[in-house]
Amino acid sequence: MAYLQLFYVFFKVGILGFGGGYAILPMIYQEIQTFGFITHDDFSNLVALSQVTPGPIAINAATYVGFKTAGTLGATVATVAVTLPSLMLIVIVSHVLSKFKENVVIQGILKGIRPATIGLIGSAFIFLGQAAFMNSTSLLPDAQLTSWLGAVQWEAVIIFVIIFALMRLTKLGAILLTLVGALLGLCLPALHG
Amino acid sequence: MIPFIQAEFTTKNKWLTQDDMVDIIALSQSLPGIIAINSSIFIGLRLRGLPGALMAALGTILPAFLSIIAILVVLVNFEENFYVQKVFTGIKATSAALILDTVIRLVRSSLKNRFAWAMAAITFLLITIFNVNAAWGILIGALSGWIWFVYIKKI
Repeated sequence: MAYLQLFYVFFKVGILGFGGGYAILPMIYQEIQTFGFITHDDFSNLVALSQVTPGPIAINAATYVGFKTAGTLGATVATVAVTLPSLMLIVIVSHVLSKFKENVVIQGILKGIRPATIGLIGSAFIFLGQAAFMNSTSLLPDAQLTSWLGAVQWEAVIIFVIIFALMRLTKLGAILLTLVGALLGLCLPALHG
Repeated sequence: MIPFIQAEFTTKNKWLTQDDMVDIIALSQSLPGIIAINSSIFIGLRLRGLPGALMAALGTILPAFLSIIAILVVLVNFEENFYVQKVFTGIKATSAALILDTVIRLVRSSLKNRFAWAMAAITFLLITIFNVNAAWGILIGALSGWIWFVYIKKI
């Protein structure tokens, strides 16, 4: 059953995953809640790993969730499922290419989806932020403010601010920034003992 | 990734013309699915038919697939390790910064009218506040775009 579930979830991501990699993250975040033993920590781990491994985030995510759920076969099922919609659609669309480009309805639909994906990437930031900056894996809605503040991982917040400043002030690329972030993660705890 | 694909296929290998490439990328962005996968499948299909498409997809998938599995297999033994966890703390915080940067850039470059602003805000709020499935965000965007640009503000 795990294989079927993996296939279903990632096929859906493949069909609805418009735009760049980040836009699919909220979908993955919400879907993994239905898998018993994939946690929100796993979600932030997989985003972190995607940052340091080659290839599209969607493939990294499918492989990660598939492998954690059902081993190598699970990873294969999820990866095939996320790719299959692209393959089928492109084989079909390549035959009706010119009609596709000129169709007013399709143009309208695409113009609606584009800003929606920006909302999706915005929510990816919120989801990842929760996992990256908070200690507890689940945020209780009725939690007291003090316990909420106690759950904040201040190291992570400081690293976030430093990296964001570096991004604005220098021209460092994503890979170098990730390296700096990793080093800061190692060094910061040593600094304040 | 896209400039890399472009250089590889037009200037380096001369398999496709610049115009072909622009077409392929535009279409890859407008079809569902991941842009990198879409464009590799497109290029494979254009050059060598269905087998070409399959091979191109495999080529894009394998490095990501293998590196994640390799890391997970190794990581199982070090997950509880203090230093590994600290490195992850740093990378996660960096990922958050990179995503926020992407959001800011996209908001500036793409949200040019009230419709676009409303669409982005509605999907964001639905997903984060009301916990609506993100797939609905895409579907609502598609439906609103259809109604708005075809019937209300004709393009």
